[in-house]
Amino acid sequence: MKNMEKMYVYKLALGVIVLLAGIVSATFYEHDASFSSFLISMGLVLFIVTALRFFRQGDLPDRDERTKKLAAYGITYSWLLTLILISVLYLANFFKMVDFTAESVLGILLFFMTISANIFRWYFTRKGDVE
Amino acid sequence: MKTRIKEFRARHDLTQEDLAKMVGVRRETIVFLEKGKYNPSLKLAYRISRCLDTTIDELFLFEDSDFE
Repeated sequence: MKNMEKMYVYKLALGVIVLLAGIVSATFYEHDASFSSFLISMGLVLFIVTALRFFRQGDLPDRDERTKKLAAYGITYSWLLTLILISVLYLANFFKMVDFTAESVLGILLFFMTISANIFRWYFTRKGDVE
Repeated sequence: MKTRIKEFRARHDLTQEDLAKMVGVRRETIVFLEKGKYNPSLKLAYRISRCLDTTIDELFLFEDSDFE
């Protein structure tokens, strides 16, 4: 099996595992429904997106040196922006402007890092290169 | 940076997709290369020049302003 196909199989399996974890969590741990629905949504999205890419792929590679470079730069810029966000959150908390819980901070960072990395990657992909 | 990929590709009667398959990249990468918007790695530049029976310096044209 080619490396790319292996990667798709691993991602599909991961999607199923996350989905099942969400179902198990919803069945046995009724106290926090938001966590279970989060896991179920993540598992479904991962599974469906990977399945679509898997069936759509042709002879050309899904990723190449340009897309890998752009993704790497996207993650780098996202990391830097997240560092600024963390500083802002820290200062806001330090000066008692907002009272964050650990859960809310982790939630903000989880979504912010994922979304900003994808926005930067999309921007560089449209531009063609990072320079 | 300017490239003569389109010109050499036409000489060999290759489509962007054909060239992409030959060098193992996505078609969009060939599109951005032809527009001079993407700086390829030395390895990719070498593979393209080999496929088009030419040399890297024939294919990729740099001006002094590219290095500023």
